[in-house]
Amino acid sequence: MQLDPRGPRFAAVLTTVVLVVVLVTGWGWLALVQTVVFAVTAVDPRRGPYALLYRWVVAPRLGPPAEREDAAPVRFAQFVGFAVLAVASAGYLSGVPVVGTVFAGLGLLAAFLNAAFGLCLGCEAYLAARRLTAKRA
Amino acid sequence: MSGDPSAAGQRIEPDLLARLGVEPAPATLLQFSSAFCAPCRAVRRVSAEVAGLLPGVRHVEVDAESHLDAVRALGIWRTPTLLVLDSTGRVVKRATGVPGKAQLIAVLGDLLPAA
Repeated sequence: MQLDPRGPRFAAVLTTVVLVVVLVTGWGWLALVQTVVFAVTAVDPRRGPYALLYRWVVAPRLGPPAEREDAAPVRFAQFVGFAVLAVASAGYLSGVPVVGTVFAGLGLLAAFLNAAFGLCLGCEAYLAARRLTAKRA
Repeated sequence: MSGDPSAAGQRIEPDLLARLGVEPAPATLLQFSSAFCAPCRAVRRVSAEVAGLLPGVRHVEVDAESHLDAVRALGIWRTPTLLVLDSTGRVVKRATGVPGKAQLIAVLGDLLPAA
């Protein structure tokens, strides 16, 4: 599966905005909505809500992409985002807002780095995580 | 862990290189990649271009995840990591991220016999 790399970048901008609102308002239901968005996008990055918005509204105003990128890193990043926001939502909605704030803050950092610099924090950490978790032969 | 086994100046064991598919060559670009690595494709493109341009340079790409023992032995934590090796398996340069084509050619120029 190949993607227009500007789509995930656009999605990261929207995610950043949503997570800023979550952090400022402490609104657990919005965190849950973002969790679902991550889950849907992880399953199919072309059918995620932000990806559809990009394709219908933004892409027609831009030229065709100069190059396409592999979907695997994007899906992995969305899965990491899903896991982090699931914990944040659980924290907010079960009355432990400090957990919500910490994990929504982590998600915001990752989304911001992706939006501003195209850096995928989950992808960077992937090999390190595999090194630490996989058994030695 | 003693020191940094894949820093510039370190020599890598021939057995280890053989397991990674490195064959004797005047110079080798040994690239570590993973499935969830967007810049790995750019490193592959630059390395393949340089290897095609300079005779005597081989480009070898290794899936880091299926060689975790080697990855641990070499102290590699991130993908993409590119090691520039001379004919004896010594690390001349280690680059994480996407290296510039000109930069890579300059490093390799010192390793290859003058044309």
